[in-house]
Amino acid sequence: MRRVLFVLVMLSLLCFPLVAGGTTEKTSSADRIAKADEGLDQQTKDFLEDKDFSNQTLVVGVWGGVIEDIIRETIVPSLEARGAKVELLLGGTGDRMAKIYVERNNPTMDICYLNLYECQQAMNDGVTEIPGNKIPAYDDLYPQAQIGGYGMSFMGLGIAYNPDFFDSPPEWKDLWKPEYKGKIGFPTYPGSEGEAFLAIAAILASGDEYNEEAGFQKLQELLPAPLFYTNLDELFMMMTKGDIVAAPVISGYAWTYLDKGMNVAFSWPTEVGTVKMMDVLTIVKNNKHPELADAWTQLALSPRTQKAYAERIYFGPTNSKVVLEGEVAERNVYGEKVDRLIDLDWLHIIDSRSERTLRWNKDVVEYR
Amino acid sequence: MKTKHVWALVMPALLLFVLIFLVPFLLLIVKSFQTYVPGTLISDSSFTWENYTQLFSDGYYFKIYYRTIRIAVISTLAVLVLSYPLSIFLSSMNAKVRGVFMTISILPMIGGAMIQTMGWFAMLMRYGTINSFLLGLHIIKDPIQFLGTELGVIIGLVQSFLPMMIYPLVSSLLAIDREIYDSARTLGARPPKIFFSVTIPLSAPGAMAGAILVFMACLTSFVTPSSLGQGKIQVFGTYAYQQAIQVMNWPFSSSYAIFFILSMGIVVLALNLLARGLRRKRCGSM
Amino acid sequence: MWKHVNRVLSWLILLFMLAPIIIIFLNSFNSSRFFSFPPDGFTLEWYRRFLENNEYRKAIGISTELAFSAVILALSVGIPSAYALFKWDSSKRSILQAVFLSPLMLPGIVWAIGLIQYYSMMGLLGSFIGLVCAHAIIIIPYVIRLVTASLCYLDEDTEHAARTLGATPVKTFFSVTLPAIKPGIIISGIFGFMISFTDVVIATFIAGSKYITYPVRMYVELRTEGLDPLAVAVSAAIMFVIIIIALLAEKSLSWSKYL
Repeated sequence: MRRVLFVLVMLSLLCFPLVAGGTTEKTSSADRIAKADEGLDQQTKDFLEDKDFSNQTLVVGVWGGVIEDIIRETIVPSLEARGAKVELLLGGTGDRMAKIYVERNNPTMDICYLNLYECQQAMNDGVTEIPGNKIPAYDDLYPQAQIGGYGMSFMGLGIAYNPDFFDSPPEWKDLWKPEYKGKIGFPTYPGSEGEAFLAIAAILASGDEYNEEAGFQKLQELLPAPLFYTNLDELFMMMTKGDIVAAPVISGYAWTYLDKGMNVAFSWPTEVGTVKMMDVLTIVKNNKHPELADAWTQLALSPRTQKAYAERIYFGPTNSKVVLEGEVAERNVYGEKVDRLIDLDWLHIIDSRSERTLRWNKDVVEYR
Repeated sequence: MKTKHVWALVMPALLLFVLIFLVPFLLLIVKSFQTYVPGTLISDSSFTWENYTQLFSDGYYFKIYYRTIRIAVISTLAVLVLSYPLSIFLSSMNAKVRGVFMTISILPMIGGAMIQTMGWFAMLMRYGTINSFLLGLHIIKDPIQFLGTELGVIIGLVQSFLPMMIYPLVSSLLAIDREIYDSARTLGARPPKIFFSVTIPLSAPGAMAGAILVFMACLTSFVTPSSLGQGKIQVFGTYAYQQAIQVMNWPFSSSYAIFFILSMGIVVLALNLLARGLRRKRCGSM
Repeated sequence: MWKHVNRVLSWLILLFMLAPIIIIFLNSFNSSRFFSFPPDGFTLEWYRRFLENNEYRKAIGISTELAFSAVILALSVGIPSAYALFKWDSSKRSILQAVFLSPLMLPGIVWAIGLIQYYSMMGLLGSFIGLVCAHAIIIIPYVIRLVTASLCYLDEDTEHAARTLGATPVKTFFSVTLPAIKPGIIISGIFGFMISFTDVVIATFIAGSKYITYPVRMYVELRTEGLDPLAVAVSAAIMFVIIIIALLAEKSLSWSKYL
């Protein structure tokens, strides 16, 4: 009897999360579409007109967290109202790259979000589609966002710093001041931030982005590193406490943490420059739902979605029609800042990544 | 029992292993001889030894290898030392109370590496629980750096894998005949003497079984060293991840893993033989 | 005197073992967005948000289903093998044992790279059965090892006697052998469950969009947002359920007495 009771309790505990599903509302599809499309621009509305995606399921590979929230609020409802189902495949870019390459003859993913630094490679290898104006919003993108796929949002790699230690926003060369030795937070390698930091060091030391020898030597001057950050909470906590005075960080992250009450500020360096970072939406080649994938892309690039990115996580709009104001405009890569970003040779970086990783491990991480 | 019957019993598991484990592994061996094309997962299928020669061309790989083994050995020894007092305590309880305590002591395993790591992170941070506590009591002047050091990684590994040792150890301690203790005491042996000449030899099979589990878990751990080591402590798991997932050099990461497995195989085989020897002593019937 | 020293030591070791879990519990009520000590204040906000977050609940459901299926598969193929290996007194045994224990040595990451290619070739990528098989493979070593260890304490004379008295091998197995190896089965079942439930590496690779498990979700959030208080609360809640289940199992099955 006790065993039976035990089994029953176990089963009911297991079933709880399974049965806790959502409820369906009974409203007409036109109403649902109108509700989901609220605030959408005319271009996107026209593009989606009379589209019916019943019995189609779109698979989208994307990051989790706030990005997922934004997507679920701004893109998914408009597609679901037109009968589509959407599955989000959450994870890091590496996992996704692996999946689309392995499945390149028979893809299960339709939309894949990548970073600027690997998207060109994927496109050149014929794994993702070459972008084009079959998506109306493509023509509205800044030219800098028409690379390797559909640029989703701009960010800049600049300097996050503790304002108590700097009188004015620092430039890259200020990180090398003797008083900050051992107090500069490092990004990890490989990764956009790490590659960009290495390039900046190389440019500072030799004026040449490709001179990795000079770059590594320059980076060694900053060591020992108090932290190689993977976790932003920790980075900004240490920055607030003064264990780290500054670190190369992507603009949006720094602002988010300022909002969370951390003692940080962000500088857009002008000497050498702020390095362009970009999330890129790619359409997987030979995907099963081309029409639905196009609709997703149009919605993602539409001002409604782009504005939500800019306002909530300070990921700057790539659609030139988006208008930002005040503080949001200041904190995002927006307006003239778009043209000031410097671009790196990511294809070259990818080619040398294997050797550079080994060097980074030996000459930076394990440098004594 | 006839050999035919034994094969029949082994067959389902063996089949599953061949299909799900062996074949992907063979694919890896094939991959390890292919040429890496930077930035893609499409490797050039022409044959090359380069991935293997690279392993021997740079002392860095041996450094990682050595560090991995060192961390695993230290962690396993620490687990062994910590698990004895607790296991003896647990085995001396009456069955009902012990059950509850055994249940509690397996929690670090059931909770999983993710939760443990999060907890340690909070405690070991520069301004985490432990440092705040020690600073508050004026025991230390400056925060101790735990994260990003081998010490931090070892603390995490030891805590996560302790239950793996406690379970087999308690079961072998309980199997020891109480009368042996009684007679040892009657003969005037003091507790430390009893511990070293009765408890340890008789519980060795359990300790060995646990030690092998813990050792291997440490060698191949990934979540703990990557989060508590903060990228500063490269061990086998973190480096394989870096090569495979971040650099996406599948051919090299395959050869790296194969080399690691082959050399580890030797160590583990030796441990297994040792464990078998100990078991033989314990149950002569085998 | 020695007894007391040992008792104090044991309590300290227990505290050490449970420290991360205790911290997670405390922090789940911490009103600060970040880990902080001492806590800033008390809040139930994170739990409220967990109840609203359908994605987390779905993920937990998938993880549970997966772990159960994987354990059942692993036990049903693992127990006969362990028994056979025990009976098989030859050098072949150590070879087969090495084969079954090999997943402990091969890092999941690397195997997963082979697996993702293999599964995509076989059309198993992202399928539930694919996940179950992969998790069963990593559970089987524990089943084999722990069941073999408890077979060591099996009284072979009883088994022999049963056979002499005319019991069939199957009957002998169920009435003599199985009860003897029960502890091994239960421990490996628990080990197996938690291995599957907490696995990140393999699930990240081969889980499709349909089957995102709880640890994968948590890992994703941790990687993108740092230590999310929501993840802390979810972990604490899961830990709580696990403790309840474990204590219930202890109370109604008292499995620890088989140890």
